[in-house]
Amino acid sequence: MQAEKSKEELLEELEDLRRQVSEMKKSATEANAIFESLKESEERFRGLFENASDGIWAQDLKGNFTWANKITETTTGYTLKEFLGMNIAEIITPESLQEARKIKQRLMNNELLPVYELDVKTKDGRVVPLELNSHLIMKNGEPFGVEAILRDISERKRIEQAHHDSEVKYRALMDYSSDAIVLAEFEGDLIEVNRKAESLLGYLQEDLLNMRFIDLHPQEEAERIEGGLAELYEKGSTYLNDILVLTKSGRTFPAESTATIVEYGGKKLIQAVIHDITKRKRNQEIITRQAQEIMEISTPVVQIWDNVLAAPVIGTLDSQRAEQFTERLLNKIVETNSPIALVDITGVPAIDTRTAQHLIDTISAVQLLGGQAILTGVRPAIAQTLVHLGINLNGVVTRPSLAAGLQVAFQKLGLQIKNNNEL
Amino acid sequence: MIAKNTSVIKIYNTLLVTVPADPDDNTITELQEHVLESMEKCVAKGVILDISMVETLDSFFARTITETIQMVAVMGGDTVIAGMRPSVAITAIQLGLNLGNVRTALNVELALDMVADFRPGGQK
Amino acid sequence: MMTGRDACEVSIDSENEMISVRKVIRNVATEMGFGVTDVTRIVTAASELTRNIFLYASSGTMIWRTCEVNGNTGIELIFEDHGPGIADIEEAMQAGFTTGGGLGLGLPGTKRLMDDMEIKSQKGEGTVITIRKYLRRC
Ligand SMILES: Nc1ncnc2c1ncn2[C@@H]1O[C@H](COP(=O)(O)OP(=O)(O)OP(=O)(O)O)[C@@H](O)[C@H]1O
Ligand SMILES: [Mg+2]
Repeated sequence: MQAEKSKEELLEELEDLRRQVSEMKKSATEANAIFESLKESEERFRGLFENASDGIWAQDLKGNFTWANKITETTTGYTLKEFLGMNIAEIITPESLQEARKIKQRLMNNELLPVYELDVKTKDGRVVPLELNSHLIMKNGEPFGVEAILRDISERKRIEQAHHDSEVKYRALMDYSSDAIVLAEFEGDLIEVNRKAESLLGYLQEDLLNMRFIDLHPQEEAERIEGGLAELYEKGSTYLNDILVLTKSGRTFPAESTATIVEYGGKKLIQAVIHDITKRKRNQEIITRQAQEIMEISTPVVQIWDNVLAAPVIGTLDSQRAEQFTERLLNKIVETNSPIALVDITGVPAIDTRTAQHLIDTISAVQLLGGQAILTGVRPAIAQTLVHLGINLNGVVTRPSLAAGLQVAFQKLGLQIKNNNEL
Repeated sequence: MIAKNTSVIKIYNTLLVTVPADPDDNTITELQEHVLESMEKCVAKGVILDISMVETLDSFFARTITETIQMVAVMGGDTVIAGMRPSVAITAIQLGLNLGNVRTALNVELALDMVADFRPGGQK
Repeated sequence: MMTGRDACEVSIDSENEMISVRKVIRNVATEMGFGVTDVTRIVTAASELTRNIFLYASSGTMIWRTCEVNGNTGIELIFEDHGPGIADIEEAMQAGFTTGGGLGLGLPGTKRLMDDMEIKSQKGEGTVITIRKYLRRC
């Protein structure tokens, strides 16, 4: 039997109970708050998980997918429902499967793995490259599955490939170019050269990369190079024709150099294309020589008798041909000491004021020299033109044919032609 | 006044005047006086101007030569210009020089032939 | 594009300069590869313009330099004076026009001998005459 509690004792007990109740109430509110916040963060986490820009999936140790987020749908083309019934072996390429197995093995060995790549076959048959970051899921201290964060990197790959392609194209362009191409800093230090630059200049790439732009030319071109660089800085490009380039062996060759300022990663660089023109120059010389020979053939000057030269003009006489013709005729007169020259125009199709003036000048020059020129082959048509053009042939002895001209020459020389048959 | 740069020698009754390679204007002026003086002194009948060494014949030189030829003619002499170089002849024509109807010869030898009738003994 | 490799200035203040101008030009033109006749043309043209300077302007300068115009290498001569200038360039260029009792051939003849000729002149200021001849390329 319990003794009756005193009133004070009862009151005390009541007070105690109240305190306890209020404490209980308090902790209940707290628990409630904790519960609420847990719920909130889970939602937040789920939202994060569902709407993450990266895909997330988990698989058991056999490779069956156990859960995945929404992004996985977009990445693989499978709905989550389909996806969660599948095994990793069904959605990645055979090569990637091998890789995945190795990865799993390493995870099981508690290795911390770097990011790796797998190729996924999508539902519609495309192959999509993924970048994954995986870790092992433990349950009760035992490995339970693998969780992976994945990212579709096809766009990045495409850009990388494009970069690579353009790099390859650029290199190909550089390396298969038949011209030497060099890239230099704005101040002139070479930073990139192509293969042709090596072969043309006789240096190895590493030699060239320690050289300056100006080192590619001999001292005597220094001034022109400086002028070219000044123009380059001012106008953004320059062209130097027939400039000498110096090779490692000290040999020089003529080249044509085009330099432009290019922007490369925000930096201003000089790109120069050096084209060897040795061959072109040689060809040009051949052409020039042949043209000269043809010109000489078309206006030959021959000695046909002691003291007499014949110079038939064939075709029209432009200023340049006329100049050369006059020079050759006068030189031949002096050389052979022949004062009489028969300038024959039988081969001139038509005469104009200029051609006539050239002929008159030639004849006057012959006269100054101490010779005498006779114009032969003046056909009726040419005679008409000369008169119609009002060309003054004063003082010039003219004859219709070369033979007639030769007779004049013989007269002047006091020679006579005898016909022995009559004897 | 005797020009140092120009040599004038007399062959029979002909004066052979050798003009230096690159005469300055003074030399050219002096040459004229020298020739005229010699014409008088030597009683020459003709003058051969050997210009085979001359590399440049400009308008001043040409004018003086033409004048000299005219003066010699007035004094009763005949002038032959001998040995003009091809390059000089071409340039002279292009420049527009006109030496009139002056007699010319390829070289001094041919010029001497031309003036042969000046020599005693007459025609060649 | 026009670039020069070499250049040199000769002052003209007396007749004696005629000889040195001619010599300099003859050497330069020959060294550049001009043929005998072209050298003679260039030297003769230079001779005419030099004489005009000391005749009409009493003094001036001649600058020679190599030039490249449209891929053609050539020689360029610039004659400059601060004399009376030429009142009527067209008239002065006419054959036979002279105020100095000459043949009036210097200027028109020079134009014929050279490939290019430019005259700039201001009455009372002076005269600048530029002439060029190019190496033949066929
Ligand atoms: N540097 C100059 N300054 C002023 N006037 C000039 C100059 N050069 C030429 N002239 C004028 O132009 C005219 C023509 O010159 P040009 O050289 O053609 O003939 P010229 O000197 O009179 O005779 P030539 O040269 O045939 O002996 C001269 O008479 C002169 O009036
Ligand atoms: Mg003049």
